[in-house]
Amino acid sequence: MARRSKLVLLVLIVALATAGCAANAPQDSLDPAGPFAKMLDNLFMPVVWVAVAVFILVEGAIVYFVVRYRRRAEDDDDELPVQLHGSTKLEIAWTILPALVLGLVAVFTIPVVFDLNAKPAGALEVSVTGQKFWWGYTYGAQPAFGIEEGGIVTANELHIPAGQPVYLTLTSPDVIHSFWTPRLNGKRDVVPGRTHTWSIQAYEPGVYSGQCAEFCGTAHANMRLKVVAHDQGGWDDWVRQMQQPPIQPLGGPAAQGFELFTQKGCAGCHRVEGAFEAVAAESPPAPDLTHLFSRDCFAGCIYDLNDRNELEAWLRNPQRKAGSLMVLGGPLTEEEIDNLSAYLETLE
Amino acid sequence: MALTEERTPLELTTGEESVVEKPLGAFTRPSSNEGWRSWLTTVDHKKIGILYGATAMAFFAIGGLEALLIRAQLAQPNGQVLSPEIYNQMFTMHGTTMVFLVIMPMLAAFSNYLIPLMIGARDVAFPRLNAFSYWVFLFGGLFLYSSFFLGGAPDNGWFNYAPNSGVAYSPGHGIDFWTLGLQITGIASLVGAVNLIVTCLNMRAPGMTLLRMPVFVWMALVAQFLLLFAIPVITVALFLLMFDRLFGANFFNVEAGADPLLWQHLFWIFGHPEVYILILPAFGIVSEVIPAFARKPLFGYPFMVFSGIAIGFMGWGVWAHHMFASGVGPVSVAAFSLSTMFIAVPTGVKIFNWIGTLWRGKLTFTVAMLFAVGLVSQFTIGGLSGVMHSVAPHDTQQTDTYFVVAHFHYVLFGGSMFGIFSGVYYWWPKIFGHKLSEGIGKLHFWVMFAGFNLTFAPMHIVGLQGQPRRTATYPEGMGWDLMNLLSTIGSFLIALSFLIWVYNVVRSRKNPHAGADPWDGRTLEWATSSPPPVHNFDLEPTAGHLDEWWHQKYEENEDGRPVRREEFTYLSQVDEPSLSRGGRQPEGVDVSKIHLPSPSYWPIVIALGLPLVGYGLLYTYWLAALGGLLIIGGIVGLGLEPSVDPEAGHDEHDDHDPGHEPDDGQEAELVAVGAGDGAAGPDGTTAATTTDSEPT
Amino acid sequence: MSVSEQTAMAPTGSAPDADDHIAHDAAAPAHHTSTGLSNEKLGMWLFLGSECLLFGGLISAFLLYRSKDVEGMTGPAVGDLYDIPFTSVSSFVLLMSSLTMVLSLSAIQRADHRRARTWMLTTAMLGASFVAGQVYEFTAFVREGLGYTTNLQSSAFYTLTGFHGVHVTIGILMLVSLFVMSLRGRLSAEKTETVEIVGLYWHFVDIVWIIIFTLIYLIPA
Repeated sequence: MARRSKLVLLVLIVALATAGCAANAPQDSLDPAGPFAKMLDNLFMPVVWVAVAVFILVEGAIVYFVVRYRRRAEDDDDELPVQLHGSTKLEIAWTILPALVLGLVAVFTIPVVFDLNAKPAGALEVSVTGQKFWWGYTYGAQPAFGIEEGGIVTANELHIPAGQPVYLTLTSPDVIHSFWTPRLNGKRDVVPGRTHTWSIQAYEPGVYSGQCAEFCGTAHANMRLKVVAHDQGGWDDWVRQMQQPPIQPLGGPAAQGFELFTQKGCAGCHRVEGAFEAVAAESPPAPDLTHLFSRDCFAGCIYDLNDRNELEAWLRNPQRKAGSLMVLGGPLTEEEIDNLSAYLETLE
Repeated sequence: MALTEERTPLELTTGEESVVEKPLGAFTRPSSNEGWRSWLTTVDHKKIGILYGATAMAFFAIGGLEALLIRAQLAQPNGQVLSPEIYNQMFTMHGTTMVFLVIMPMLAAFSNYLIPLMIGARDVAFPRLNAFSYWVFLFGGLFLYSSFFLGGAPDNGWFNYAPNSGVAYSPGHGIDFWTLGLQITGIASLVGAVNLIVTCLNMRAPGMTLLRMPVFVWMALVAQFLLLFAIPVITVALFLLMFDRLFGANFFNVEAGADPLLWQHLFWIFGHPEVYILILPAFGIVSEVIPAFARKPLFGYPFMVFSGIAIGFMGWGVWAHHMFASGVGPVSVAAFSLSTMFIAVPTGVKIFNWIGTLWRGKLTFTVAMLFAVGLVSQFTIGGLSGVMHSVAPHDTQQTDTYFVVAHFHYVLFGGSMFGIFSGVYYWWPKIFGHKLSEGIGKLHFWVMFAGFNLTFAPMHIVGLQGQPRRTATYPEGMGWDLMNLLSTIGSFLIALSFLIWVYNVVRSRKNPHAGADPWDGRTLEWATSSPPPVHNFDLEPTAGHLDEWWHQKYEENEDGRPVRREEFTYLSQVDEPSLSRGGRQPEGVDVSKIHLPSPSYWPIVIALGLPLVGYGLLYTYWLAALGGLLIIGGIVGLGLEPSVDPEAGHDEHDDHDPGHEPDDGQEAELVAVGAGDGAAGPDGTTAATTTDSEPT
Repeated sequence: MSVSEQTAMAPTGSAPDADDHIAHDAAAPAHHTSTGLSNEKLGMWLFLGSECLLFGGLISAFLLYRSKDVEGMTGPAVGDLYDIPFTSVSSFVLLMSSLTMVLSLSAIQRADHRRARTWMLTTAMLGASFVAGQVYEFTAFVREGLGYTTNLQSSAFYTLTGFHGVHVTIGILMLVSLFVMSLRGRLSAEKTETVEIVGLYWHFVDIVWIIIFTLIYLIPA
């Protein structure tokens, strides 16, 4: 009975594993898309195979002994097996052998620990802030990457050039978060009062999904992020666009929306370069909206910015994302929502 | 100090009430061992063990319900069953409950019930403190759960990282209930640890050397030592957080320059030994069960003992592996990565020795044995994923994902809970006199085994596919849907298996009496009746061997094969059926000479004061003052009350120094009282096994 | 008793001696235990072992935060306020109380209850003077602008030393209880161990203070 169930179980596990791996999983750590994630994966897979070998050995021994030495119906219960008390030789063997295997694993592991913490040469540097419940990114002037004085400020979507290392400086103004894009590297906590660093890199252009991995409060599950890796041309375009301040709308709903931005208190927290620079000192950190519509997602990267309904629903009630810290300066009429959306759409 | 009383034999064996009209303080001292009231005042380690077990199982049902709600929410993407606020309370309370209110007290239940029986003692070292521990644990747990009705339960995870635990980010009282509640249960654990360690070290029967103690006793002893040193560390963390929250201290105030990693270090210096606190006694349980049903001794007993001790020591040097992503620096990461790898060595030794015990045995698959072998096979999986965590660079992919959730459920459910259920089935006949039904039990095991694997095996996969833990929802299109649905189905199977167990418990009350030694056991608890008498053994046990009781029943023939002895003697009066196959009743027994500590109200009174202090700190200091009064009054009452109720006034010790000259009036008075007292037995036997006179 | 004797007493077959079931041999000392140490004393040792970790945690928290260079720290640093001569005197007072504790124990072991009580009371008084000194020190610090919530160091300092002060206070309460017990004749000869156990606690609290005094007062940040 035991053997059959275990066999069924094993088949089930293999089937599940296959089903699991076949699925399209954008955060699959087993599908590395950059050299750092690959480095981790190279370390992990041999350990997995060692573990599988030990698993088969141990579970095989259990199943075999369970079958081989089970009491049989015809057995005389008064006849006891030989009272074995142990074997020092065996004990020494199964102490030393695992220690040797683990020693081997250690030899490969330890250097990687230090490699991961080193700053890669020629990296793009980005300051990342994790806060309840979104990600902010600041790129300082870096001529090698086309970024001029004044830099770039954006949120939730981290744009990087593919094929080049990116060195992140992580800080938090409130509680602990953790920056994690599984296909580009493991996670690194973002701890208030401390400055941590972490590196990512993508082999190929593409969009890589990630999210906050340290519990940070009500909306923790909805603190997601995207890393967008560009080829050289795409990177240059993005940098150019991000360094041009938006043009103030002069008429129509967008101009009314521009007025509402101050009247409804948006400007108290959200910065728009060249238009709303005076963010109140005591306001909670809020995403820079200068190039809002250069992004595809908002509010911790959980809503699609290309879908106007999502934005309007958000302006109607920012609490649709439970735990959101965004407060409206009073309820907005449908017309005001239309006008504000129209203004925000000009921020490209 | 043991002042003693004369009791009639009848009274002890039947528990018949003796009328003692002697008011002590506000109460008349309770004296009955029967009736529901006796459960409130009992100091009998067996009753206290049962109380611990019943309470822990009740909390297991509650913690399980929380788990079901979590799984219902995660059954599919964008779950709407719970709001994020409620979800966060659920996973916080699920973790806190299962660790502090289920597995720890469940192991306290086994330790309490079994250690004195296994080492041949009449009770634990401090029976009244033992009762105190239980009540403190119960009230601490209820205090924690009262948060649900007082503005919301804690919602920051069982690890409760700073600074999200501060007033600024968690303004409600939930976190306060958590810090105070765990301080209260911590008192219970600490007092219990001192008590059980002293019991193991001091109360052993003649001949029971340390290396003749059953492995369960050893593993419980190591776990209690870990508790002794781990509880103060989390107490410091809880203190600091409490002072931050209630009195505005700055320990975790980042603006004042505090470092949030201080909390993590303190928490995990406690937290990792805690893991071994949760698993070692379960290891001990299966180390008793497997030899009993393999019908041969544990393979490599000394190696099992020393590997347990080694784990106990090494368990202090691995805590920062919980912090590989926290930014503790590469040198620390490398060091803790190494230590984490090598703690797998003694753990592996244990697994190999259990397999060695199966080898060439004669295995009977009772439910207890199924759960025990289940532990060995499932814990192995948890151990192997643990080794994967030790590969620190890749742990940055695994930590805070469902891979870790899978890992520690294989350790704590596949390990601790399977061990606990193994012990429940194994010792049930000893504790209640009848077995649980084997047929229903097997159904319970297989449903639980299947449900457990269906719940937690898929979590390995979604974890590596990037699903973080502690997230209230997940979007579509992440590739996690199927695995989460399977987990949810599995969790309901586990719930079903628990209900099967409850049905088994209820139904089995009608099962026939199992006899004193239904499994042909190896250790001393099987040498007494089922359930054991209040005083555990009519005859004082002695130990000439490891597995003493087995050696009473068997000897080796000239071929080195074991042969059953013609006859052997039980250590207590047992029922007739137990006497088949050579069993004899003990003779010439006069249990009237055995003196046990009397029941007492004070433990529950003192314990009641603690949650009052807790509520007082949160709401009004008057309550705290009332609680403080109860505690102080209780301690004074406990201190003045002799451990054993002196029915006939003061008793004097016969070992009183005869040459002692009283130096003043008071001393003379004391001697006079002693001299006028005829209660001591004619042979001068007054010493109780257990004394319970704490200083002050 | 030797093991072999007890093994011989194993109730295998033979009818046990009538006294066998008595918990422990009545002729043995009242505290006959496997280790020879009484339960109470062993329990106290274990409790003190646990306390080491408690103070270890608090001391570590203080040292960590004292060495932290906080930009724009409010209020004074604790280190600038120490009155080393004053604290040295109060530390000496506490140290002396360990001596009087030993004297009290030795007196009660000689059954000299009157002298034992005198030394007990002296110990309690010395302890109380230490606590009074601590209260004075705290008020002096608060007057200098260092409240409990002022900065990182102040929270850590008051928590650590206050916690120690509470331990001394509990010790004083135990000594007073012993004193009252002795007065009422409840401290009979075989209970002298209670004094020894309270003494263990007292010496421990004393040693912890020596460590605190050295680490946080004498060794500069």
